Amino acid sequence: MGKINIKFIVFIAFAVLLLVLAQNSLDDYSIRILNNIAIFIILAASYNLINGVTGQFSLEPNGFVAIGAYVTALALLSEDMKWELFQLEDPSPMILALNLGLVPALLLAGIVSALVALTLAFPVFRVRGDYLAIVTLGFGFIIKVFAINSPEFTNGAIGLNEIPSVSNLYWTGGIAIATVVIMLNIVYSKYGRAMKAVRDDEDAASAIGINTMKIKTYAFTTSAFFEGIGGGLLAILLTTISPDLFQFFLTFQLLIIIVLGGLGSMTGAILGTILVIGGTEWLRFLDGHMNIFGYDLGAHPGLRMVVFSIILIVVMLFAREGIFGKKELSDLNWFKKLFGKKDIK
Amino acid sequence: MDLLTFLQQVINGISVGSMYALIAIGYTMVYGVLRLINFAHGEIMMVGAFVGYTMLAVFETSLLTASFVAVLVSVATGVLTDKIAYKPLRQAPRISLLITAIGISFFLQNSINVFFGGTAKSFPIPEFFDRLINIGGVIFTPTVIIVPIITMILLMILLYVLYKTKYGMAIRALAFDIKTVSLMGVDANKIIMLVFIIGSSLAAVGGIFWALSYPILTPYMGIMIGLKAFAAAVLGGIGSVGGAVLGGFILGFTEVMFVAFYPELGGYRDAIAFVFLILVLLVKPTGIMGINFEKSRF
Amino acid sequence: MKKIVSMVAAATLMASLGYAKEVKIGVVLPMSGPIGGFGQYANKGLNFAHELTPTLKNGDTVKLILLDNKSDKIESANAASKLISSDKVTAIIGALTSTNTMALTKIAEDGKTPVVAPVATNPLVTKRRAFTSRVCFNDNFQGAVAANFALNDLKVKNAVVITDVKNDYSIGISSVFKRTFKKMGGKILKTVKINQGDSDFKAMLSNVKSLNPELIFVPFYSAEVALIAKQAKQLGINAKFLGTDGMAGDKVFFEVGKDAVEGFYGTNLYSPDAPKTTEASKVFDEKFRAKFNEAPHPFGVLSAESYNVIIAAMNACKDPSDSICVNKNIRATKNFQGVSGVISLDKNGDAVRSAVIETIKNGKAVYLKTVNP
Repeated sequence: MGKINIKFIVFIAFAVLLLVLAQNSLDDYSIRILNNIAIFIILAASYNLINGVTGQFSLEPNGFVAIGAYVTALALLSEDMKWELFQLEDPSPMILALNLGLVPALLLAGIVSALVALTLAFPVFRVRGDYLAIVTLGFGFIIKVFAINSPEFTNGAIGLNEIPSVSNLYWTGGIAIATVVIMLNIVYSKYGRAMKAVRDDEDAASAIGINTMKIKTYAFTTSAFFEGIGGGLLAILLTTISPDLFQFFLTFQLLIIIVLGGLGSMTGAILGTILVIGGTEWLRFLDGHMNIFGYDLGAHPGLRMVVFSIILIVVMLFAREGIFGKKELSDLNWFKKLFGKKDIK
Repeated sequence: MDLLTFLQQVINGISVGSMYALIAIGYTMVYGVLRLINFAHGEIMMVGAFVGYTMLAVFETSLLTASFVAVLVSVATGVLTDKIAYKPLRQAPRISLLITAIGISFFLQNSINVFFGGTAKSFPIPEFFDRLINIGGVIFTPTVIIVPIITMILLMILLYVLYKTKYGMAIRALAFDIKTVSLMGVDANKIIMLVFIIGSSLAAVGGIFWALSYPILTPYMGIMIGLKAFAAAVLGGIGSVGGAVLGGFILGFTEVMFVAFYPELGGYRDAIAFVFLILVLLVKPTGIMGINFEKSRF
Repeated sequence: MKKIVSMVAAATLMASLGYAKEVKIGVVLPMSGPIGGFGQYANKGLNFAHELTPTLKNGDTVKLILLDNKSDKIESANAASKLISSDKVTAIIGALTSTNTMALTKIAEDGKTPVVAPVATNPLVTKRRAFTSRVCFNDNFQGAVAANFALNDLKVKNAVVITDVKNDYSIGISSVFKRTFKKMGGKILKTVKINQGDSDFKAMLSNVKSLNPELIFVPFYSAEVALIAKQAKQLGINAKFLGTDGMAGDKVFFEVGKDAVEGFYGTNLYSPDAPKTTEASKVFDEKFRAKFNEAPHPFGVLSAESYNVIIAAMNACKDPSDSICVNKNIRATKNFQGVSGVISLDKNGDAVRSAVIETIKNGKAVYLKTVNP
């Protein structure tokens, strides 16, 4: 703690002020988008931990987000609701017994995801690089297949509805702020340094005595914990979830976000989220009728996604480091000057 | 189940397996020389299928012409992808290449989506392939027989090129150690381009075969098929052409048999490929016939 | 003095009434993505209805705002949110599938905006939602109609049910069908599972063939039914096939199925060559055929129906942009002479209306009979 004191407090106060303002003055649609952004900040920051900071190219977030969402939804739905919703098969008794309040439900989501990550870490980290990517992709996929084919737990493809909603910015924004603060703390701690060492050169890190397996597992599990919570918040925001929400596309979006912002930078993750999620809504016009200089180009649904993939490719080709690279906001010179130099460890 | 049904399934499994094999070869060859999992390869197959569809449905050419054009366009796509997206990143960290490949994959899917519209397209199967042949109670279409035969022929040609020609030797050398071989005067980029040409044309043929067997095309069809073909390549031993084919057949066969015996578990069918994938990577990452790439670098 | 004041008051009132406003209706449909095809049919019918009735009785113009939900839930929710908060629509038509519709009903409920679903048939869509209604029946009805038809008309005694586990619509109807079929004395030999997007069904079909069923129930979408039909024929399966309203919806069904789907049966919401029960449907059908040279698609007709129901509700309101009043009137629809037949909405917002049974003859869906609730 105690490393960047004043800056942290100012940052948090500023953010909270923004939240209060937004919640009370903006219309529902904007609040919805901001909620989305907050949730994705949580997801992006945690995904960044395993991908950017520790350098393990994993493609698993959609799996953990799915787990978090389902656990939260199942915990929040009352027993009667479950009997009503489960159409294909009767809900399993274990599911029926699950009934928690909001905060415990979210915590449970995080814990379950973390436990799954812990179990997966042992087999997954035996491989590296591309293989790791494929294995994590595979697990994410298997989780989805499981969700579809276990109707007594998840109601299959029908999904779950009527999830109690708490869609105000205080929850999502608050948790987002907390996540970022925690992530920054991790990054600047000795664990964070070890993770960066593993990223930069795993063999060298091992040679100087870092237990790379432990570090990777730690990053993976922490990542999963927050991704699970993010998933839970997503379930609450949407009030209805189904397996097809958690496709590879979700991971792809997170990938674009952290690459754009800079792999390894938390500030970058935040900026990336705002750009990508806000951009997706803003670029909606690309899918509708377009009129440029009076020429009616007609409607081409799907153009939005084409533009997004091009952006990703262009960033990878020309600005691989993303906007912030590996640095944080506090590493920029003008920021340091503005807020005075504190002891940066 | 009775013998007849069993035979039916065997033939079916071989057919599906051949298509996986054709596409798996492309993955394995690109990985061999570039150590890159070309996520966009499934889309190259999809592009081939769509071009075939356009030629047959819009221009009403013969199947042969359609296939030819499909191969050309797929090859162009593959080669362009390499030139524009992969070549500039030859020295970049692997993660960048992977992300770029994913980007290209999405780009192709969505471009086809925008260009052709989001609805499924029905592939016009030529009369010849749509007939039913009945031999001793086992019923099938000509497609089911032609696919494995042509796959085998193409495989033979490929193996000949790889092991009996200069270019083939260059490809194999590059797969072994790209840096040293470049120093010895082999133009790596030209050989890499050749690899993409071969892989993409095989994928295009695979796409046409797929369309002939299952005549519904969507822009997103390449995703699952591509991933499964990749799993097949890994299963057989990534980097090995023979392995890719072997993996393709094993996967196709297993999928078909699984559903044939347990159709109530049909929902899990897609997971089989991933289970294979994960098991192989955990138990024997080099696959059945594989070469250990991590060790052969210097 | 009094006379002058009242005349001035009357004049002002008339002036404000004569000042034609614009009323907005939001439309959320899948125009791209896996079910983009269905969305396009729906939109065509909807736009045509708008063309026929672009204004309200009091002269206000109706504006349709279309947002593509890309066949996705999150997009449906965001689209609804935008339409209600940003564009301030008075009512929403959409989405097409039940899951996507359910993604937006809560938002509409909170925003007190009525939603009229054209073809979403899952019973849960209108549950607990005072502001959501539909002009189609729900699957409890459709599944029962299918089971009834199978047992009483086709006179089959056993069936195999193929369920598409990735498709919530399929899961719902399969469940109701099985229950009803068994209750009425039929026997379900086996339930087989497939995935939406699969292409190879031969393995599964061989297994089904060995069971020798009289009927195979295929409640899912066109692409998969067509491929199954083709492969079933290749395997020499002799059973009768019964599908539901998602079956013949996309023309891909006929292009791919060709002669393999001849003789298939299917329940549907509307059949273009059924005898017209209302004047409105006659007129709509004629004008549509005159303009587009093709029969209107059931999804298009039902989307048009949604539009007309909303227009009627708006016309009955003093202020047509008062969404609460509009919703009340929508829910009060009784014996509405619509373009798809006579419909009445019950207290849950579900439409009480008839279903049709069609059979495939010569590459087209041909009307067989009507089943009344």
